Amino acid sequence: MYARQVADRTLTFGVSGMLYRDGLVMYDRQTDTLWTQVDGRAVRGALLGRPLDLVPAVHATWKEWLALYPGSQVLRKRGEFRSSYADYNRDGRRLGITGRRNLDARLPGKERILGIRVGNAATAFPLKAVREARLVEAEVGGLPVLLVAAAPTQPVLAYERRVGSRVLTFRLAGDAGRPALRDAETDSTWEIPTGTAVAGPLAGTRLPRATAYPAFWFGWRGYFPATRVWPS
Amino acid sequence: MVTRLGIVVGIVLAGLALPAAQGQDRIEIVLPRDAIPAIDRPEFVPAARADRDMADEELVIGLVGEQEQRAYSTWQLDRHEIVNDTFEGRPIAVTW
Repeated sequence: MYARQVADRTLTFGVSGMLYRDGLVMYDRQTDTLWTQVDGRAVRGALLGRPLDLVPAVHATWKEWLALYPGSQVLRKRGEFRSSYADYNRDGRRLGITGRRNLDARLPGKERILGIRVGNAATAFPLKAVREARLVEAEVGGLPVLLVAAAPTQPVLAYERRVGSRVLTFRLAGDAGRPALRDAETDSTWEIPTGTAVAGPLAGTRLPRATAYPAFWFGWRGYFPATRVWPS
Repeated sequence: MVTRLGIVVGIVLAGLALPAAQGQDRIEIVLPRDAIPAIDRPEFVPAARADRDMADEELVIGLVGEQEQRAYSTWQLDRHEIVNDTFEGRPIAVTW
């Protein structure tokens, strides 16, 4: 998810039909620049070298999403009731449509991760491990982040773990039916789906969402070979 | 999402070296431009109504704003890859 505003222009993107390191290559209709989707970078054309700004997004199953955001709007379907990649997604041995090898055995090639990058730093968070931990606090390139999946029925949500320049540390609170977060510094209580403090000294404050990118391990590693893998 | 470009009939190695590429990295042309159509005029329905067209395990990409929340099905995005949209006044591209 990217902002379409680049250097005072508003771009619209199309599918170039090209792949780079097995990731989508987009083009923009205003300047015909080519952009790699995984790292949001202009790789050829007038805007060469420009980055796209990431927009934080939530990645969830429909069931999880609907439970958290029942008042949301949803992109209208016209058919498209099944994934065209169901078989590909299930097959742990198939890496990329052009057939890749997993170059980095830290994780299985098809392991699903959320990738967070800040400047030149990148960390892959294996979704399964984050779900087991329920609450993960980490730093990526100096940015304190929080990943939380408080219940098996909730998606992994990523936030920046700070208010202004103040870094916070969290623990899970609330009851099983309505989990919440509590920070150690002020003892405020935070609602998980919105990252908003609802009680305590910081009531009304909202945590910035972190920009987490969903990927298969081999794909993320292809673009960010020096990535760290949480928890190491 | 990494690796999402339809069924490939014939893979052409384009031989276009990227300026910043390492080693033998190449951009590969796998389909003609716009063979996968981006969505330029997205329309939305309320979640309660969308529910009948969605499977529980279907992955979605969601935006949570100050006032609004919006979701895009990745099963639908498999066939479009890109949605050019505007959310709470900000032009954004949903990419998959």
